[in-house]
Amino acid sequence: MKAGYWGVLWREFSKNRLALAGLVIVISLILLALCAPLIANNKPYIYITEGKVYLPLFYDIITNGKEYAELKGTDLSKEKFTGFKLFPPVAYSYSEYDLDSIVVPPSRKHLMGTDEQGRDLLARMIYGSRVSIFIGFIAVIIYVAIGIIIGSIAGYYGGWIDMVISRIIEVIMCFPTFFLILTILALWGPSLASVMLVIGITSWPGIARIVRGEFLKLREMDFVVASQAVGAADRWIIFRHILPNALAPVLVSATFGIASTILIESSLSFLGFGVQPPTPSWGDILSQSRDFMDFAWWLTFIPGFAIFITITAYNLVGDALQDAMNPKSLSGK
Amino acid sequence: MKKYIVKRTLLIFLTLFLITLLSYTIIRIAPGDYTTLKLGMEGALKAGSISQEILEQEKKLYGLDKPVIVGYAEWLAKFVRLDFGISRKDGRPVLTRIGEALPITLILNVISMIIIYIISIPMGIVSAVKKDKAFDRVSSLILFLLYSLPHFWIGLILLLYMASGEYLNLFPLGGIRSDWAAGAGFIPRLIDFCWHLVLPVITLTYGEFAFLARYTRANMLEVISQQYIMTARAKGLSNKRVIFIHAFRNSLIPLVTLMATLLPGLLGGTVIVESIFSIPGMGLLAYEAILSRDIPVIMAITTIAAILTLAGILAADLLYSLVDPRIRLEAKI
Amino acid sequence: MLSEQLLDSNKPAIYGRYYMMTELKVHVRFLITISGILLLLVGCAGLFPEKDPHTIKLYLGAEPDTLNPITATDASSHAINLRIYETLVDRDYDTLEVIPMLAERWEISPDKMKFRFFLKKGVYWSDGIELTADDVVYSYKKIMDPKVASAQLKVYYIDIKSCRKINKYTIEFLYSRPYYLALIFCGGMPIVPRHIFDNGTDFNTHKNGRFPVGTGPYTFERWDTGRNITLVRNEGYRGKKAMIRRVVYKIIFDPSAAFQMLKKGDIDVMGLREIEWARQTGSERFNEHFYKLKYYLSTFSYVGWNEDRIFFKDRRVRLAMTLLINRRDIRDKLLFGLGEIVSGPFYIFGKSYDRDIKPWPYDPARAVRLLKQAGWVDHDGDGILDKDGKKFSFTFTISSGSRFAERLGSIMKEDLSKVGIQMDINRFEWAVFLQKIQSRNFDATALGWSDPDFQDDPYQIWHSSQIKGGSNYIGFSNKEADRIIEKTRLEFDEKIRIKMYHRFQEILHHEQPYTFLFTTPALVAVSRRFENVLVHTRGLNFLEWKVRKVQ
Repeated sequence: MKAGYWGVLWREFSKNRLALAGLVIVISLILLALCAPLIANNKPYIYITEGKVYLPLFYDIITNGKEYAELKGTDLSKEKFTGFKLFPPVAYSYSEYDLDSIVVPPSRKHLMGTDEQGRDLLARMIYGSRVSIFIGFIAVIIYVAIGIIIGSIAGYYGGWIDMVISRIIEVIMCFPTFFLILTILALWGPSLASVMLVIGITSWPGIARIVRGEFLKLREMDFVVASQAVGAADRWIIFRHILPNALAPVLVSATFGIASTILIESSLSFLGFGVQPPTPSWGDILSQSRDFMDFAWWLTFIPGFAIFITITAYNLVGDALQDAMNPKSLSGK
Repeated sequence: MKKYIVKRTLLIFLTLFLITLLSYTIIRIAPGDYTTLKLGMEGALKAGSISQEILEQEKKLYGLDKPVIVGYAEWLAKFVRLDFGISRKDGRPVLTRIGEALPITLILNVISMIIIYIISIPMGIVSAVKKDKAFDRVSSLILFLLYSLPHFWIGLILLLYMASGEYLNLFPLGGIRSDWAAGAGFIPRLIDFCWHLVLPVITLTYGEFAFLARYTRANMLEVISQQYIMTARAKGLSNKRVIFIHAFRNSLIPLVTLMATLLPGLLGGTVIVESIFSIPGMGLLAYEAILSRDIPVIMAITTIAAILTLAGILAADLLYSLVDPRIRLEAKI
Repeated sequence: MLSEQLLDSNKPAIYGRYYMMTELKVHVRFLITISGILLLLVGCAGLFPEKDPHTIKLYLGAEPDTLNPITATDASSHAINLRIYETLVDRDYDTLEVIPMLAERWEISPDKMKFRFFLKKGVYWSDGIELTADDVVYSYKKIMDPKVASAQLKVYYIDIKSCRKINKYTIEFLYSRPYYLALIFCGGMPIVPRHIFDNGTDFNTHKNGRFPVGTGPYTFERWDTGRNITLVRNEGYRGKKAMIRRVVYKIIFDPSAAFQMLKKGDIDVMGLREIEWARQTGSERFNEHFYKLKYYLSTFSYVGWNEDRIFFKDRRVRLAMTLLINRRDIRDKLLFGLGEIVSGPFYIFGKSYDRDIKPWPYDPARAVRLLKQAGWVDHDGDGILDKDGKKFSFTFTISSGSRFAERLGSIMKEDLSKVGIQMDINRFEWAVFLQKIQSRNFDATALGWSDPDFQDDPYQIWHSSQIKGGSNYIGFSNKEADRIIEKTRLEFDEKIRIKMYHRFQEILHHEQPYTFLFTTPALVAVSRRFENVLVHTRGLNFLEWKVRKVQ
């Protein structure tokens, strides 16, 4: 029956073509983020010289940053090295600078141009997707987990436990979230981990409220009362019976949550509280180049557009999920 | 009912106490304090060990030598007498500074809010009436795309292309008043003021239509499907009349309660929009206070925002119960 | 008075002036349409006043805290107070000689401990009350008052034993020990009107901090919080009157918006960044409307190595780090050739700087040899150097406001990784950053020093007594250097002092406690609405500018 529910959901969801497009974008972004080092790198996949075969890129990834002893100190991207080389599609790393091509417009050499230090923008965009995607996912996983735990405790037990938790929820909701995040980052120093953690620990009340509400609704229902009557343990009832029913609205909220987390991260980066350099993030690239957006349009348009597309994709998916879950839209068709 | 309100109000005080205590602790235990910052700016911690003495003196002056809990108690004692203290930055009362920034933010937000309501509610209604027709789909897609555009990106683009004179020169480059305006009459001043608000208001509003329009649409759909509307239709009332007189009135109720929860958002200010357009409002005030560790200002803003949020939540709950007697207030605490 | 600065904030204290530039021809139509609509709405064109050509519009990146010169600490308030308030002595804009300002002359006792100033007669505060010795003594007492938030000034006057009034126009400062900069310090003390401040209210929050009354060439007119501060010419000024009638300081939080305003003509003077100078202000239109001025002040940037850290204890390692930073390339390309590579802390065009000491070259091969000598070799083959089991892996701490430090860090990280040194960049917001630096909780950092008054005294940065609580936070300690610093402070003969400074620079060059980077020029755009815009050793001075007559 459970599979049936998700099956129906998928059927409804897949009727929405825009949402499918959004899903495709989301999945490709995740793949792009996962494979970033394989797509944008200044080390070749294969290097054959004097009858020897090297796999510099894979060696680097497997050994976590080591180089072949024989190749040490040689710059494989320079033309003068003979032999067969196969580079990734973007033959630059995100941190490799070239002071001879500072703020160069898109060209065949640099498809998206370069930044203020002559770094390839495309490579930085590809790596930047990692920050956006990972921050989105991990922060949302953190707060969904916290929200579910706290919300189900409050909703299931009710009474004074619920009352205390409701107060805590209220306290957190009363903080202007963006400012709370800003304060914490300003005071303790920004990093990828702290951005994720802070978003994670400040955004859970929404989820907790949803879960709590579902619990309040469900716990009076027959099947829960019945399992209580037969003496099932609390934990069992929560996990086996109530939670699966509460999951659907949480999923919707989490999808929108990823979109808003990506937006928060880029806004923070824009204010200078993002990840540590030289790690690229889309918001950071945009903020770094705003001073010369009048002559280097590519440095602000490309990251801005990337953020826009990503958020749109997540929102479309979330919206379609919501529609698919709404029983009215089911019966209406 | 009375008992309920009393109980809720008491709980608000408890919550408020927790919020202020938490904020004060966060600011005080964070690294960097006002004194270090002030001296550091000038790099003046110089002339030998005696400067440590001067530093201690200065800390004493600002009460930074006291333990956190004592500092909080002192703050609280002043707060109950509605004394928010003196701003560290310029030695003026905190309320004076808030009094300068608040009207600007308020005007900006009220105008934005009105525009959002004026545009999105009719759009939501029409979408509901023309459910699944071309208008519904296209408008919701457009609103969705607008919703996904990052503020800071659009703000910068508007500024560069509409105001800088590099491309178009339609609007001023930020600020809220032209230089000549001080000596001008009321009407030119008003026009000048509105002229300055155009770009910030666009930046603040374009993304907010989607939520309200969707919300209105969903409410309308629910109302339309209800019995008495069907009856009205059956009685032969014109479609327009049914929609606008009966259905719309009923779907307004949730919109009113929504407004109550939006109240605190009006004051929050949006630091990004304010900083891009050089508007000296609440967002920038708070941002600057955080960066300069201006404890009295941070505390005042947090407290005021919290009071408004709590009042908003309470008002929304009360409105709900007035509108829909089925909701039992006691269960909602 | 040396001050720490963000690497990018070395824009000079005076920024900009106003000229309505002709718009791009294509867009003139739009302008007409829009203003046409506005005029229609108003119905009367006369309601919109003309822009005043006798107003200069300057840019302030941050709102001043207060205009009380005794408690103010930020650059914005200094820039404004400079026009409202005066001090006993001034320094010549070109020769840097000490010249009279409020004092007409002064006497220094043979033991260099007693300084007697004779005030000019007939100097009036802008409210009409005469300035007397009482004001000076009152100001000194307030600065030293523990209840007054003036720690940033107190540190300069702790060597003063007493400040007393001899008669209505004479004041005497008594020092507890001689110091060659004493005259500049006590002569440069801010002076506030006693008759206004001494009214029983709290000095720190006194309302005069928002409505200053001074003796200077401009008087305060109004302060619109978050927007403008306006000064008008002091018509009763005793000296040569300024040519420009009104000064508006515009507070603009966003530097890139300010730059757009400059181009549009909403600001008259503004400091430019290197990339703006080289790439964004080359158009004919811009140069038709602006002078582009370039001049050097006494500033330099550096990378500081914390000598408490095991890596940087060793002089050879510090030198190797210097040899690994390609300063020439960074200057030529990242800074568009704007700047000089320096080898010591003094003003590069001054006498104290020894130009015969050439900066170390970029030489990675030699750096690797030095590292090897110091024991840093990749023993375990993991690609990172190590010594006694400790990896060469450190953190580069920078402030989030400094774009240059960020770019420098990214370049260093990439280059150092090639020789097996792992460096992480840690960017902190200014308050946190300062705390890390002051508590010496960092490995390496990039900062700048500026010495706006060309005082040269290396005591606060380099003396070993300044490691704890002072500005010597990298922990530099050298006996000979300490001796030189102490001696020069007592040495009133400039020639001997310069010789000692040259030796001091040699020690620094050898020890490399800092990797000295560049002294970058101030790059300023000034509207061509003004003429007589001269560049002095101390920079620009808009008091002497004239408004160009419009034909």
